Amino acid sequence: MLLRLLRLAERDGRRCATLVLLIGTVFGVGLTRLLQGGFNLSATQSVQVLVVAMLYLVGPLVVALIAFTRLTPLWLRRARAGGGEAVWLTLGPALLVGPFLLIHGLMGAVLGGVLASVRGGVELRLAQAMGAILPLDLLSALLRTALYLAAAALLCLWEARRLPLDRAGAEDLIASLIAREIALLVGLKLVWTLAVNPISLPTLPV
Amino acid sequence: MTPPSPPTGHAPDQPPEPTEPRERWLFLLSGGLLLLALFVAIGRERRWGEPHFTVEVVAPRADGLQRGMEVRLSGLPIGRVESLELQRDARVAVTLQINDRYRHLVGPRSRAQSGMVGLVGQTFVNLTPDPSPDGEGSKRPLPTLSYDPPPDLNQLIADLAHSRKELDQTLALTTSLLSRQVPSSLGSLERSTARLSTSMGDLSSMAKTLSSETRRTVPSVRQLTGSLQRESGQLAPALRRTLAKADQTLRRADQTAASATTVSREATVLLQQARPALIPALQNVQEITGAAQRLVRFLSGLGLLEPGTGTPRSPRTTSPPPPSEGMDPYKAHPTAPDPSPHMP
Repeated sequence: MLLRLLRLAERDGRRCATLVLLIGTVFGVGLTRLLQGGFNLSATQSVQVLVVAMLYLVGPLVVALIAFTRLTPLWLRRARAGGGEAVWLTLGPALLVGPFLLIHGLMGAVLGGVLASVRGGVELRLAQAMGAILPLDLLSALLRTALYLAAAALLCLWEARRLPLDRAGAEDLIASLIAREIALLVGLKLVWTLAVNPISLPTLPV
Repeated sequence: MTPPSPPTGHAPDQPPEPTEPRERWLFLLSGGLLLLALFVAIGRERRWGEPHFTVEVVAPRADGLQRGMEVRLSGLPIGRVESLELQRDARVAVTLQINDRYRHLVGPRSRAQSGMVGLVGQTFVNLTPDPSPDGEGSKRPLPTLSYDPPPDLNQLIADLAHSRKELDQTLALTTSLLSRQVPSSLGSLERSTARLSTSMGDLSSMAKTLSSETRRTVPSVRQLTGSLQRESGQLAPALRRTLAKADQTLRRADQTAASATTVSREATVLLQQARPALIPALQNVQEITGAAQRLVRFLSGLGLLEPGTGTPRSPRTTSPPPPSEGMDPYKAHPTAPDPSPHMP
């Protein structure tokens, strides 16, 4: 069962990893260029802002959005065809894939930001980026990503059991599911921000 | 290409789930490795696994303090801010986690300060060093250190505004002073400059005159100097000779004076020796002279003498001769010995 879950997670992650890595790198390069060129922040500050943005603001959201668009049909199919194991076949890979995708996105963004930094060496900037990551914040972001994907997978399970088993209108169902997943994602983000872990940005020099 | 493996338990009307058998564990392995590398890097940056000790700091307020902030000593990172906690007396208890290698550099007299790299750089907590004399830190817990918070920006701005106000007042005073004093000062300066220029002109003309006079005088002075040199060249031998002769003459005079002194001493001695015999002789002569006078007078009274010679002498003429003639002890007597050749 575990091996099967790992295979499904590998399959799901490979469907999303390229896109996540690409978007993370582009985001890191763009944000670093914007901070250093447009806002005249130092390289250290821009790396810190990039890490904060990836962990607190856009990282889990973007990873969840990409996973929704790429994995919703698979989740729906597993939910319909899984029978008694449908819950594990849907929730298990979702819980595993989310944190790994966030790691890929974070590394892509950090590498892109470090390479796009106009000042300082790569090694120094990488060390600064690693120093800017608080382990608890990283674990929190990984947990949030897993939660978002698990919630979306549960929604797929729920919709699959509620709707009749026919292929007619599958495209509409998937589009509707993605929209609901996004709404669920925003709701969860709001609840997390307001109730669980309010954003507390590290002190940045003025 | 390997055919897709059919998923177990899917509905017969559902298409099989797409499978990608190549690079089977690439995503999970790469994700796991990245996660491991990330935690290793974070641990390396945060010095996980190294022994630490805690330092308690009490700050009046938490401005500029943040959990995870770097702690530096002499500009080098030695630890991090572990936690911030508000106490009952409204002060903030800050726990610093310091690497154990630097224990000997932190002591009871250390102070925590807020630091910043440059003006807009990274903020950090700076610890002042208090190295132990033996170079080994004590294992006893340190007392709570005090914290110097960063300067209050509002107070700085207020001070700056106050300074600006005072500066404006000073500038206004300076401006008014300049507007009142500078024109007159400039006028005085201009007049002084004009006078100075006139004086400089006079001085220049005088210098020219003096220069021309000097030019005219210099040849005469040169001629005079030459003449003096020539004359002195001629006069010098004669002067030397004259001086030599004068020197000889003076030497002779000295010798003569010495001889005269000797003769005088001898004469004095001789006179003192002859005096006892001379006085009776003079008395005898005086008596003889008186007797002769009386005889002459007697003969005159007798008329035996020629008129020219027999004129009786007045009493005044018969008065005894002045002592200088009759009694001069220094007058040479006819019976006296020949005078000394050295007698002056």
